[in-house]
Parts: sequence; C-alpha cells; structure tokens
Amino acid sequence: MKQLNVADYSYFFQQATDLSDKEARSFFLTGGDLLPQNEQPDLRGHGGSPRPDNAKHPDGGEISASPAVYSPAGGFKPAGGFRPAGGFRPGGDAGLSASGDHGKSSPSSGSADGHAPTPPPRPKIETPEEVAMRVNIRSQTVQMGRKTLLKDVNFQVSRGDFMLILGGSGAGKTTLIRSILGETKADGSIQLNGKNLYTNFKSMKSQIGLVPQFLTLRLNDTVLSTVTDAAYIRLGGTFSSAEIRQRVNRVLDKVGITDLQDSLISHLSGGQKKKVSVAVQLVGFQQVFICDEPDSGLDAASRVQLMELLKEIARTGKIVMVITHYPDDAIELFSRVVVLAKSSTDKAGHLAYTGDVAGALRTFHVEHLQDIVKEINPPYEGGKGLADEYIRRWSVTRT
Amino acid sequence: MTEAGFFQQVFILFNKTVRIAWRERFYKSIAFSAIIAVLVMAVVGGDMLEGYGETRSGFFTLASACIWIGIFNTIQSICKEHEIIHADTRNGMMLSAFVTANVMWQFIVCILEAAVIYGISAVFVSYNTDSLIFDSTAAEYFLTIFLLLFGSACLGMLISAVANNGTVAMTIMPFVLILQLIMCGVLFKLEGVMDVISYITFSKWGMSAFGAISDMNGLIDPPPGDLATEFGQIRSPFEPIEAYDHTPETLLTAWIWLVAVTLGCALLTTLTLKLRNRE
Repeated sequence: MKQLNVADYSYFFQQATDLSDKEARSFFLTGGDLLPQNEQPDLRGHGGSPRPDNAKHPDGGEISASPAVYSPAGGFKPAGGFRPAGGFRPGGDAGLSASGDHGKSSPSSGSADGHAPTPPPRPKIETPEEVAMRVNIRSQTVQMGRKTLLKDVNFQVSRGDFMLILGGSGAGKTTLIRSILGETKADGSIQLNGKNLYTNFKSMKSQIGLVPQFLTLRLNDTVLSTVTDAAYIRLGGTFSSAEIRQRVNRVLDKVGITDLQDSLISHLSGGQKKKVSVAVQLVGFQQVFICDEPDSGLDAASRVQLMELLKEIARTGKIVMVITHYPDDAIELFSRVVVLAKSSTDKAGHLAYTGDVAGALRTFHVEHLQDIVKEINPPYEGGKGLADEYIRRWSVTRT
Repeated sequence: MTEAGFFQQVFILFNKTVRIAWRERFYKSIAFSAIIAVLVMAVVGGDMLEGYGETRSGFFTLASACIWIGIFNTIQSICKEHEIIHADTRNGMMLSAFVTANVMWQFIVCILEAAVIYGISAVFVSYNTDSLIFDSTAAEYFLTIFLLLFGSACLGMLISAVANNGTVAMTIMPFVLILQLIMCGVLFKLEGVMDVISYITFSKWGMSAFGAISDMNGLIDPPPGDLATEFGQIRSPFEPIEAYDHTPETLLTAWIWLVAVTLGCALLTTLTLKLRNRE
C-alpha cells in the first residue's frame, strides 16, 4: 500500500506537510472531510479537537473559520482572517452580509422599461488564502476559433462556497463548466489553490467532480457496488480494501443512502439516483463539485433535499457549483451567484454579475433569482433584453 | 491521490461486468446461440462432409452464424454506455482496463457458446477424425468456432464503440456482416484489392480453418472414369483451394490470423474510446 501523499489533500491542510501518513489517513477514513469545517478535527496531533468556528476575535469581530490554513509556525489559523462585525461575509466578493451595508447601491436612471440595472457593488478583494479557485477566461471558442462562446469571464470562489451559475439559454453556462472541468480548454486559466488546472490537468482533474444532468450509473448494479467500485478505482492505489469499505460506508451515511445500499439503481427514485451520483463523486475527495442541472426531473421536495445535501457538502470546505432552472427553491442556501448573459453584439456569453444572492437581487431589481434570467434574456425568449446593459455595467464596475 | 493500477482496475471492472451480465441474464445469449445452431445444423448438417459443395455450404453457414452470434453479443455493449464511460473516465477509469475487462468476459461467454454450438453440430454432422494439430478434430473444430465467436464479439465491440447509439450500431451491423459474407471467398472469387481486404475478415480465416480440418479439398470428386475417357474435356466443377489444404500449417495460419484480427479489433476499440473521451 502506498504512503498517503498529504499534498493530495492540500486544500484541507495547505502547508501541513509535516502531517503524518497515519494522521491524514485517519482523518479521511473517519470521514473527517465529510464533517462541517468547524467540526473537522485539528490535525496537528492534538487529539482531534474541533477547530473554532466563528470564534470571537478579541477586538469584537468574528474569525472566519471556513478556510482554515495550517502554518508550520503558528498551527492552524483562520484564512478568512479577522472580519469586523457586520462586515463582508466570507466568500462574497460583491455582496453584503446580512447585517452589513458595504457596497450598498442605489438605483440609477436610464432604463429601457423604467428601472435601470443598478450598478453592481464593487467587488471585494479577497485575501489569497480565502480564494480557492480563480476562473479567468479571456475567451472560449469553438469551430477552430470562428465562434466565441464565452468572453471575459473572471471570478473567484472560496472554499465552502455554494455557487449558483445563472444565465439564459445560450449564455454559456455549460461551456463554463466544461471549461472549469478542463474538457474544453479556454483561452485563460482555471486556478485551484494557486495551481493552473490547464497546465496540471492530469494531476488535478481528479480534484474536480461532475454530477451530470443525466444519469451516468449502471441501472443493474446496486448502490453499494456502484459507490465501492468508484472508490476502488479512485483510491485503490492508496488505500487498502478495508479502508476503502470504511470510506464508502462514511460517504453512504453522509449522503443518506445507507438503507438503500443493496437496492438496484433501477429501483431508486430520481432523487435517490442523484444522491448516488453525488456519493460517487464524494467518495473520491474532490475539492470542487460541479452539478449540471442535478435537479432536473425531480419533484420540488426532492429538489430541495438535493440542494440541502449539496450545501452540506459545501459546508465541509468544498466548492459546489450548480446550474439549475429552479434557483429559488434553494435561494437561501447559495452563498454566491454568477450570472452569465449573452451579448447581442458578439453573441458570446459574458459575466453580468458575481457576488452574493442579496446583491444579485438588488443589482437586477428582482425579487426572485429566476427573474434575473427574464431580465437578461432577449425579448424573443420572453425576456427584457437587458443583457448588454448588465454586461456593460458589470464590466465598468470591475474596471 | 493514487488511482488503482491497470490490473487492479481490470479486476474491479471484470467483476462489475460479470455481476451486471448475470443480472441482465447473459445466459439468454447462450440459449439464443443454441437455437441458431439447431436451426442451421438441421438444414445443412445432414449432408456435410459427404461432398465438397455440401460441406463448403455447411461450413459457410456455420461460420456466418458464429459471426452473427459473436457480433450480437457485444453490438450494444458500449454504445449504450458512452455517457457512463465518459463519466467513469473522468473519475479515473482507464479505458484500456475497461476494454480488457469486457474482452475477458466475452472470452468466457464465447467459450460457453462455442461448446454449445459445437455440441449441437456434432449431433447433426459426423465429423472426420484425422486431426491436424490436436489429438482430436473435436478440439480443432471447437477452437475454430470459439475464435470466430470471440473475434466477432471484439468486432461487435468496435462497432459499438464507433456508434453513437444502439440505432446507429444496428444500422452498421448489416454492412459489416455482408462484408464478411462476401469476403470469405465462398460466394465469389476474390482478386486484387478485394483479396487483400479479405485478409482482415473472420469469415475468410474461419472457412480456411474449417476447410483444412475437414480436408475439404479431399472431398472433390474426380469425374467418373468412363466419362473422363469419353469426353476428355470434362472436369470437376470444383478445384482444390490452397486455403483449405489439409495441413497443420494452413490451420495454424488461419488461427493466427483470427487471433491477430481479434486483437486488432480490441486495440481499435480502445483507441476509438480514447479518441471519444480525449481530454
């Protein structure tokens, strides 16, 4: 059996290269990475005591516990650093915390239909430790560069973010996730913990998992076999059979399908099948979960349950990105929104907003996330056709 | 994180393939091959090894049936799973391990099918006993039937890997079957480029192996002596074919070609899947 390479889990431990194989192995096999970040054990060999979550800073503010960073000199320190009470919430690069008022914007004039897009709040500059992923796409083209699908899409995502990717049809949502997955390489870079995915694709591709829109499970296999086989393939070079079974049991438990482990996939409901898809990804220690319409074909209750599960995964310190046509089902769960809009001039998808949910609703002057799509969709698709305006405003704000 | 190595993945995927095949009642394909064998041998079996023409037709029908059964074993196996295979590849599955596991499973299925087909054919045909390589012709006939089935199963996998879905695969299949039937050299005499192309068909080498084992050339009847004397120009309608020579070399050559084309199909299946799932 191979020694566990602690660098593989660098997103949890950052610089914790002195972590022993036994400690790291124990952390994963006991499902340490499946716990909410604030409950994850301290791995410096102090007996696995939980890290402080939102501990009070001596100056009265809160210490963000989300992205804990290990420093050889000072042990774990909260990467989010000190944030004053009522300040920005972690991970929101444009939005506000519930009690904060930074970046609050006022409506402006000049709208096509009476209300103009509000200038988006200025993006917050995050500390390097806070940012887990930087997406910097100058352009994404197809047909030998003749057709541009995405242009100037730049945003950052922090560990623990549950991000919604919103946009009308043809705005480039699927192209964006294909670029992040590395399936089609864009002109630009996708950086995960400071490493460029495109130049390190072979070693990094396993850190990004995809929960696809359509079922990619064999119907005549059981839940347990499906997840176990996926675990063996992903972890077989590192862990023993007993350890893999232990890991599988933890993941089944986390996803809530332990009772279904002997059922055939074909006998499961749509929501249960999606949970198995999530478990297949979760078993392999992915840092980033990309979910392409995971809730399509599910009833409202199953949709909410699935989104809560994905949020729970995000709470463990992973990044979860979701494309969904029912964003308002889980509006309170998303910590970040990226809005893509299709420009009428170059027909490519551009960034129209990135930030928290509250900021998005204010920026687009809507009450529901679903209405944002109506704002930016062209009139022939039932929208207001304000995509160009929002793209322009966002681009002005960024510069 | 270190993913499982090639052999470990083959073991995992082979187990998975067997498990799923069992749940999908793979034994129905064995029963299917038994029914086809009974029908074919009931029609052509009675006259086989009694005359050159009947024997050639009989073995041609048997070889065609084996190719049909083999391709049918796998024609839908990959095309219905392209999305799953793509997802699994993203999750660390090696395509070479996937194809190897499937080939291993087909090896077992084809052994069972070959046993059934040979067993049924032996009921209808009194096979000759003068073997070439093994101690008995039964083993040689069995191995030839197996290689035909196994090679065709790998060809079916290749078609399935190329096709986007089951409908496309089933559309391609008749063309491939016709090619096999035309290129075997029984229906038409092949020359030039066609003869070269026929080297990569299972039907040509299957017929060559059957012809060699059964000493098909030895079944060509010379014209009756009195007619030959009376009409010096009269010749037998059949001429001996070198590919059917009753020699170990001929049989071995046919088997080697069958194995080589089979390996080629398996390799091309892997390459096709790698192209489809390239990053």
